[in-house]
Amino acid sequence: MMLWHFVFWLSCAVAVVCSASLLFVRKPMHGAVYLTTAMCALALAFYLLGAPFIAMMQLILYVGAIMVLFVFVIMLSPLQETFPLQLQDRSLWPGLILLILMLLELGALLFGGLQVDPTTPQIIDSKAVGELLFGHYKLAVEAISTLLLAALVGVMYFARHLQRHQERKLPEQQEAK
Amino acid sequence: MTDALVTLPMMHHLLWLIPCAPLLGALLIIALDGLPTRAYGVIANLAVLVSALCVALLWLSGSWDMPVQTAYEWMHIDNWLLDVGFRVDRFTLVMASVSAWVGLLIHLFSTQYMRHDFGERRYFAYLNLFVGGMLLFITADNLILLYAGWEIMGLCSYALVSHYYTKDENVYAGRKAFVTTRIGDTALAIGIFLCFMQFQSLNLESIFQAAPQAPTGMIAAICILFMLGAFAKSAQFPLHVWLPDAMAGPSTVSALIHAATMITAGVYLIARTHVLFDLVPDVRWWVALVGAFTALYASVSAIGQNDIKRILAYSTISQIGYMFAALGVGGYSLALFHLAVHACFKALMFMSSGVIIEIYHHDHDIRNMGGLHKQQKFLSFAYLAGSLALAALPLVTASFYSKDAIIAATYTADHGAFLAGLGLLGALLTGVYSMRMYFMVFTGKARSEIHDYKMTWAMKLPLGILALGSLCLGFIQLPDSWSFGPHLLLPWLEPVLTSVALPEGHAGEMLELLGAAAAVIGILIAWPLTKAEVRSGRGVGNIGFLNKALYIDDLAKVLVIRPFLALCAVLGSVIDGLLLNGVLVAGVRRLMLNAAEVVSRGQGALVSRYVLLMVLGLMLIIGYLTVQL
Amino acid sequence: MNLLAVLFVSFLLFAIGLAVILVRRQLLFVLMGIEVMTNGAVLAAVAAGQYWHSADGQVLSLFMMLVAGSELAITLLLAMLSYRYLKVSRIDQMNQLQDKLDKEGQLL
Repeated sequence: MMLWHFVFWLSCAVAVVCSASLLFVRKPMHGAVYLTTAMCALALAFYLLGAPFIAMMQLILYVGAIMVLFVFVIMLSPLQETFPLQLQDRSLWPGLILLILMLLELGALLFGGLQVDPTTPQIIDSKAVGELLFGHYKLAVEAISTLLLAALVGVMYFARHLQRHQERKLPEQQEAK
Repeated sequence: MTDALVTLPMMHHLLWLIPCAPLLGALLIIALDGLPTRAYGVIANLAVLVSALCVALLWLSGSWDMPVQTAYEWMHIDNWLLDVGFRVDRFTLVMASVSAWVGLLIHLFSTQYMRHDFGERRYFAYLNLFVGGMLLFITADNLILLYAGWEIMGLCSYALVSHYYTKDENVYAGRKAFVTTRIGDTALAIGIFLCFMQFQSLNLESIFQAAPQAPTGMIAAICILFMLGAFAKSAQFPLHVWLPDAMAGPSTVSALIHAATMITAGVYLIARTHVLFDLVPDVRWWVALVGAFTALYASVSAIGQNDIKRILAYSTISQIGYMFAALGVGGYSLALFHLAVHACFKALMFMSSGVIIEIYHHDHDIRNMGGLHKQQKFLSFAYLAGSLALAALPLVTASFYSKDAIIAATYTADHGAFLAGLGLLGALLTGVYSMRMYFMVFTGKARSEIHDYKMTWAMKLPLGILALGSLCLGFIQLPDSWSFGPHLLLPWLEPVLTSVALPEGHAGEMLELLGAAAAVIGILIAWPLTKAEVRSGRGVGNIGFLNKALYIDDLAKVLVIRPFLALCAVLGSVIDGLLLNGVLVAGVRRLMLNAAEVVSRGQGALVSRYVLLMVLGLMLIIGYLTVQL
Repeated sequence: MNLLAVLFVSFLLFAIGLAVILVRRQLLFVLMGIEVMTNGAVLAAVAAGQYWHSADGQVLSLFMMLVAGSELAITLLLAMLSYRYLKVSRIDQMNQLQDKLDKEGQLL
């Protein structure tokens, strides 16, 4: 149990620190790497919380799919200017002050009066998840799959737009040459 | 009486026609476009003729004891009901007769007088509306309807006085008439509100029944307000200033205003509500005082006038003053009597004066007239009848019987000797100015060119009837102390208007003699006065104090109008300019603009600001949860 | 395992994501911030599912991931398009559709 605590809190700390470093990094690519690290750490945390299926999903979906998308976009986009956190910028202060107030409030809310019994984590395997997913939640699964389809169509549409733009641009460039 | 019972139900349903026929006539004249101008005169005449015939039918059918007709239900709020209702009693009947018939004669006269004049159609529309308003006012059985008639007359007086609106001073005169009478209208309106507050009803009959139980203070307040309204409408002392200027309209309009409609409305109002006034004799006494004083004041002013129509205007103020004096001492039927007589001779004189002015080529100044008797015999005799009636020549003129009775009646009131003295002095001066006017116009040599003017029957007939009326109307009611002769009017009116207290014994006879003597002396003074004035070219008309009517009008200008204008200027610059325009209008505009800018900044199409607001909302929600737990 | 501590961590992640959005204001970083926030929420869902020994938390997490994925697929493409067409990367500059008013309140 000691080991569990150690590994769990360590992975949480890694996730928080990596996320927080997003505030300071200069290049988007660095940010993507930090974010990937944070997600891997979170995947470990999920596993330790007794959710191996979600841990795998975290790795496959987030790290494998989403972050790859990020990296692609970063590589394709020409703009490199970044705006890391600078405390001299006064326009940031109200937002940060509000955030700190919110965190204080959350601390007060969570550790103020609530009493929760500590539990020992158990494995909730993918079979239970699958039964629930395709039993009780089958309608939601249908809805989510429709959403995915819509996203797919949308992306295809926009991608065609992008393509046409490039095609139109190419002849002009040739003429210019 | 049997046939009276037969016709009564019919008349009962025709009461609405009395005020509505002229109103419909006015509507027709306005609505029907493109007729020849003469046709409008015919419509107007017919409309008033219908009213007059209805009134005559009432007389013939003998139905003068309170036929009431409810035309329709006007308002019905909870259990409070307001009808459009008409009622006629003996008093109303006499008054309606005067208004309708004298109005009809004036209409008839107008058809020739106004021919080829300016704005004939408009003139006839307003003339009809005027008579309709007066008849509505007379026959109304509740205060709202009465007030409606009252206001219609106010509107028409404004429109008709400024009939020749192309000249500034005529419009000014109309405005003056309207604004001055508006003071009275406001007072009357407040009085009606008080009536409603006290009695929860506006029906005259129910008010009269409930009045004795009401607190005296309230009754007094209502009476004072009604009195103010009557004073303004009838041009009594401080509020008389509009009437001499109201001569700017056509002479027939003056005749209508003075004889048949507006001016007499005040008298009618007080006599109508005499049940209330009887409850507060102290208030009523003030009516008498103001009336008697006005009678004297106006006759003094009339002496100093050179404009023929202004003389007549002041004479009206003076004669109405006598009526108010009679009202103030409880002689309501005497006031009505004098009103009828006055309507005859004043309509006659005003219409004649219109012709006279035409003849002297629109010159109003009697010093430039003279010698008309030889040219216009009929006009001269008619005017003489009117002038003598105004002067109240004993025995032969109607005014002698009505006016002297009033003077005698005032003697019975508190401080009666004082009131009667004012009246007698006024009577003396009345003789002077009335005959001075006649002599200046008709006798001697012509002092300016006389134009030919041929009067048709439409002019001669009304003048003849009215001349006859001014001479003979008095014979229906000889003085009470005379054992012989008819005493028809006062006893007949007694059930409605209560009996009149007249001085007993020697005092009454003395007053009668004094009154007669005053009139005769006044007439006798007038002759040498006129001769001297014609010879020297200077006379009473040159005395500025008299000519300006004791400078009351100028005093009013200094005391009322100038401070008011100054107040208006201050209000205009401070309230209107600064407060309303500067602060309220521009301020609100600026506030809206700035607020809109703030809101649009907040929206601002800046995503980071949206996020910031989102965080703020989130913080508030979590804060709420924290506090709740 | 103390649920409240895990929840605090998840809130911390959420707040950090929000801070990233507030501070960076650059399209890519804003999207990354959103991912961090979603991850915080997923952590909360998983922890709560563990607390009640129920698989519902995991189902919810799965849904959240899928929604985040489909959202990102589209928004990333939109970000690319905006880089290409509008030549802007800061979200505050993406306000081409707004109406601008002058001092008198008239549309410019």
